[in-house]
Amino acid sequence: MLDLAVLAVLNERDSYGYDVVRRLREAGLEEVGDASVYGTLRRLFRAGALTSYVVASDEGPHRKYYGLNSVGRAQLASSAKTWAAFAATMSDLLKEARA
Amino acid sequence: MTPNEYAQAVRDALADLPPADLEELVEDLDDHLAEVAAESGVPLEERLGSPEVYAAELRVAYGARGAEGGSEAQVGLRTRAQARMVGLHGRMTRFAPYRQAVGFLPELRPAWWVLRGYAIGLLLVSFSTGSVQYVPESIGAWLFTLAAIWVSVWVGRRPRGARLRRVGLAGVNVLAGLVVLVGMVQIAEWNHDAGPVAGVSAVKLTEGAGFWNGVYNIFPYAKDGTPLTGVRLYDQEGRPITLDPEMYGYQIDRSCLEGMPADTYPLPLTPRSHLWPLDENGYPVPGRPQPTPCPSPSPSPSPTLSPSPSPAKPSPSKS
Repeated sequence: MLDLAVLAVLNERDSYGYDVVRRLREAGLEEVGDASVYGTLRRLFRAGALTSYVVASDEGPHRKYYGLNSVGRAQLASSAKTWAAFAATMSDLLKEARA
Repeated sequence: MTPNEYAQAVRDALADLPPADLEELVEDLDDHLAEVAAESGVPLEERLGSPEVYAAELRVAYGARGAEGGSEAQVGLRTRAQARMVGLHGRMTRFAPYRQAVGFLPELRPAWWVLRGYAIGLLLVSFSTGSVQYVPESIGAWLFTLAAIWVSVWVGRRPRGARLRRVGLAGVNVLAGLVVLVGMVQIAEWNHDAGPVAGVSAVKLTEGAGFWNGVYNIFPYAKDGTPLTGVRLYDQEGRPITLDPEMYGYQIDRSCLEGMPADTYPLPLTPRSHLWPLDENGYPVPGRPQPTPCPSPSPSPSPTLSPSPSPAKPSPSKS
């Protein structure tokens, strides 16, 4: 699930590690762990779903930016589909539970 | 703890990973932690927890190693294979037919669940009864097979379970696929063998055909005891019934058929030795036993009918 969230954030625009964490938290995933996001980024990168490039910055450390390649986009599309189906099923179930 | 000290503590906690793997994982951890630290004055341990906790979380997010097992090589291989599949999938999605096929595949899953249940159910029935069944052959077998289908669909509708259950299910799927494949091959062979029988020719009643055991000629009689000749017999499928007199040392005397098909009863039979050997013109060699005259059953007034088409013929008795 975190994979999908990270892919979605990177699909919007390329980001570096801590920026991904921040944007996920801004999007509402306040509890997301820094290590989880970092580990997920490294895993997706190793799996060949991400491209990365280093951007030097004047103040502070170098930043390694991650972006989606075609593999990542395909993974995002299929995961998003799965998720949408799951979410629809759950909200149907919960509708019955509330009624 | 400075970001570098914190990063070093994380590295230490992950020291059991292979060096190459560890290096790949924590490649830019220092920069990342520096970024985190730069955001606020709150110490890293307070914001991120202890380096050990951070390391454990990293380990899980990176590939769930250490906790769940699986050697480095295995995991690496699996991830690479996955990446390759995903890449292939990504390239293939450019083609509309592939997209449609992939979109449609999930709708076929319930059909597979039913087929899987049928295959596994019948496999178990075949094992327990000791006779291979391609269709349930008893009420019990039907009930069991229907129950197996029900279970299979029920399992299929459940959400993905734990790893162990997924592996087990994959095994069952492979087994069911094999059973279906073997069954289809077997049925195809039947069709191949059964072709001539079902399509055309004749039911040959030979030794081993139960009731017909030992029968090599048929003498039909009318209700009033009149022997009938030139009678043709058919089974329930409309296939002509033929006998195999040669198995009993007799041969159909072609010269007596007079243009009639070779399956008109009673058959004009001659002992094989009477027809053999023949000279170059096809006539029996002189000195050899001559063929008996063509059988012509004649009506007999006696209640016990004894037509004698040839000396060796059985005498059917009216019952």
